[in-house]
Amino acid sequence: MTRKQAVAIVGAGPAGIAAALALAEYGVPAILIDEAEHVGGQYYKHFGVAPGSSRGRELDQLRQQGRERHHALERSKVDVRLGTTVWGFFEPNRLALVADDRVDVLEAAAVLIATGAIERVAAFPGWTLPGVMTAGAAQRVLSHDGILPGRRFVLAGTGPLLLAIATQIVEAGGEVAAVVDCVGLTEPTHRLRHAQAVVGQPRRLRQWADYRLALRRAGVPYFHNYTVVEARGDGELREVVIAEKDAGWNIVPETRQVLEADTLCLHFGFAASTELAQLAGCALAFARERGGWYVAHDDGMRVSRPGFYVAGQVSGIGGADLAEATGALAGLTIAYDLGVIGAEAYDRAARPLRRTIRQGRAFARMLNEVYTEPPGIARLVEPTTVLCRCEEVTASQIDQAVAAGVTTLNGLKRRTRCGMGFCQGRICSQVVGRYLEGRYGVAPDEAGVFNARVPLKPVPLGALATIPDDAS
Amino acid sequence: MGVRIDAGDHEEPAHEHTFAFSWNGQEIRAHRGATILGALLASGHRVLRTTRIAGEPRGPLCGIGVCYECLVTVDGKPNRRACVTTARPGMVVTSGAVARADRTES
Amino acid sequence: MLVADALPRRADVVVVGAGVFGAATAFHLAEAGVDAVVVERGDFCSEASGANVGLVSLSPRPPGLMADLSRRSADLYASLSECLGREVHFQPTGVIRVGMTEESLADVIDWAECQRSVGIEVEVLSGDKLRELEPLLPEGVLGGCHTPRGGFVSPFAVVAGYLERARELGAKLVPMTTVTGITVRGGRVVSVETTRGRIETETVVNAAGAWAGEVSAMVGLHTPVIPIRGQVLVTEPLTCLPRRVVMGISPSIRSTWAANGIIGSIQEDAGFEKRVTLAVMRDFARGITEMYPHLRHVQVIRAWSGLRPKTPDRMLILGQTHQVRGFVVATGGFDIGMMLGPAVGEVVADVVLERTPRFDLTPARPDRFAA
Repeated sequence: MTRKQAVAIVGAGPAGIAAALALAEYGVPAILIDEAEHVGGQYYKHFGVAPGSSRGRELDQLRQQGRERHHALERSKVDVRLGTTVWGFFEPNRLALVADDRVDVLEAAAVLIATGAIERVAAFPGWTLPGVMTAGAAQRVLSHDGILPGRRFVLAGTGPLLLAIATQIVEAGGEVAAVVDCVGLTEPTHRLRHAQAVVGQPRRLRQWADYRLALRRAGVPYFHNYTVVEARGDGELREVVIAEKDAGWNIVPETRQVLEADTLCLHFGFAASTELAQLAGCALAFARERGGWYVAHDDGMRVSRPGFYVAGQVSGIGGADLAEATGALAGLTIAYDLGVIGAEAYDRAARPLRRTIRQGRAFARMLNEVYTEPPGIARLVEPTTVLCRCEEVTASQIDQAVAAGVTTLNGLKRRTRCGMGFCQGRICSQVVGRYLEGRYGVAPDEAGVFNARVPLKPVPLGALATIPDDAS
Repeated sequence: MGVRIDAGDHEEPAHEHTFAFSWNGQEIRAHRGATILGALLASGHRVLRTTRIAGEPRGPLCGIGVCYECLVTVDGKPNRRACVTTARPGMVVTSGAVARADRTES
Repeated sequence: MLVADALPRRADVVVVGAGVFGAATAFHLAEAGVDAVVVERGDFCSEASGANVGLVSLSPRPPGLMADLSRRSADLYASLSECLGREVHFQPTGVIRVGMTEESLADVIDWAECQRSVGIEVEVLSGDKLRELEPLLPEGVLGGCHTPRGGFVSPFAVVAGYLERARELGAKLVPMTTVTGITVRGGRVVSVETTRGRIETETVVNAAGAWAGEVSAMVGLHTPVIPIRGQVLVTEPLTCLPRRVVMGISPSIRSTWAANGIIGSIQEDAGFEKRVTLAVMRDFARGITEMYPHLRHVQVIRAWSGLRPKTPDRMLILGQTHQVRGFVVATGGFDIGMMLGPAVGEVVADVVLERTPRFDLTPARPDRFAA
């Protein structure tokens, strides 16, 4: 039940897998844990239904890459524990896991937090209607279950994933009524940043051009500097209102358009999943170039708490290459810190990884600074707009709390109950945080992050009753 | 609502792999490996519940088990995520705003 | 956080601690026109007052100061929302005290007699009768009693309510600010030093809960409170949980006003380690699922712990100290702080204003612990 010698890796996405394989290479026992029933995180795809059938070129490729990683893990000595949720960290060094309603408590030699990120969404009137989902949700249903979640799609937000998923939907036979990108590259600094970043990345430039071409060929209208304004329908989504916006996020009234759609896919970039790191007392930092809050780390991926490491999206939003490099580096550093490899071997192996990481972060910086939902998006919110979906807390309730002087997420939580629902603040921290910033000018580091509490995800009482007697 | 992707050449006809589970008493056919959410969407069901306070309709948001919007009752277990729960033959899945703690609902 | 007023240079009274005792005191002072400032090192209501289940009942055995304070608080709670102009979510569900063994049942019946002797309505009932009243009682209840008075409140709403109303009436609130020293000259308080600067004042109310000892030490006095940890599990929203407060079973589960289930309680001597532990989570989960097997699928979504200030004789420490003029102590609520809060605020304001307090505070005098 306790595996004191092994390294626990939480999250089997690109970073976690890379770390596990790196450790395996050095003969360090590793336990790779993920809540999903398969490895790959949100990046590599898994076809649950009819695995042999195609979902389109790109998704097929991502599935193939996932299978390769899966096979590599199978060949290695990594202990892969799927369907397993890490729900707690207890001093001094125990991870609490649950799988099939049974709890296991793990004491590891070191812990690598590779818990990834979730998509950013935005709040606006009607965003809670069935039919409004993230772009990733549509992609997942398509890739895992082999179906499209709707017939007529609008994709809204910003960032390259929006383009990619729009293309994937078109390839799968879906009708995309519009791609609505709120970043128009109308700001000169953005254009410059964009240009600087893509100079060293011809492959990506080509990829984006391919997406644009595919969408043009399919006759999909592409709106720059437009935003979704409202989602409408009688109990489920029927139409999406979009409009152009100016630099101050004021809607240009003459440009309002109503698009018929049954599915609205939102994507505004990513937000790191830092809850486990917080629970273990690891310091966070905030930087726009990293995509917001992330787990602070040194140049070896060590975090503020001894024996803990971080890799992947949770160390800063970026591409899969970056995530893998940080994972490999973290694995290497752990092996070094455990005394398995010497300083010279470590430096030699780390050098190319550090280079990849530097390049990756430079590119990610542009994406994170340009293609993210700006604070101005808070202007879309109306008083009756729900901001905390789980507890149904509206903007006007948040307004009342702010009027009474509350300006932190934790203060708002205690006062309005936002963040007290099932998702434990994962969705509303973005949405309420953005609202505080956009409407009231409260900077993210002043608003803070929700305190992380045990359990990190809901756990049934029956499972908690199986906590081993010797676990304390 | 859902559109089945064409199976590739090397795939057996999909219908040989379907099984049934129930959604609010209605029979839903699902493919092996499907999530409850995928199967429901394929059958045109995407309103999964109504909220506790305002009674508003909700469906899936994140699709990856983080947002807890796609909550359904599975074989008597309240508030389980449809998007990450694999459908199984004979499963009884229902919609419900708030779980009931009655002894009768074991 | 409640808005951080700028730290004033001067105040009539400095209240240290924004838990229920500090908040209620600040309100009563502000209502009396006193210029009060509440200094809190964290966010308001972030310690014991923010980590309890909000019980409002008649716990201590009359006659006695604690019983008087709990009865007075129950009266104040009944109209507190109106009084503060803010909802405190008082749910007057009534309270059931049960006995699961002959011994504990005898104890409960004895308690009921004491309450009745001072005119409180209490019914003694058999196990079956109790079950008619509250069908969701677990098995094994031999008997007990039912007090229609009492129920529970939302602790945050109570503290926030007191503080906001106090502020409306002129009090200042300074959270995220630690008191670092208290200057005494000629045997009386002259100022309070904080991480944001100094406040000149002649009166300090030490409502710092588990940390009250530290604050009293700043003026060379001994206030023996020790932190006793309590842990609580919160479940997903559920209907059909007992709504009434049921005392005498541990762990117990009931509905909060927001429909979540809440499971408690425990008392641990764990120093200042404010943590939720695996052992307690396990024991609570086992206890609840043994009593109610059908709850095994119910999900816990949150857990927290709080440090409650316990005194050696379980009696509050309330009142003016003799050694240092202007230094008033208000602490020691232990596991009934929220229950006593309103009456304590009222009575401490009386002490500060040198009015005759509603109750004789001799049993709670701070100087009984003179080292």
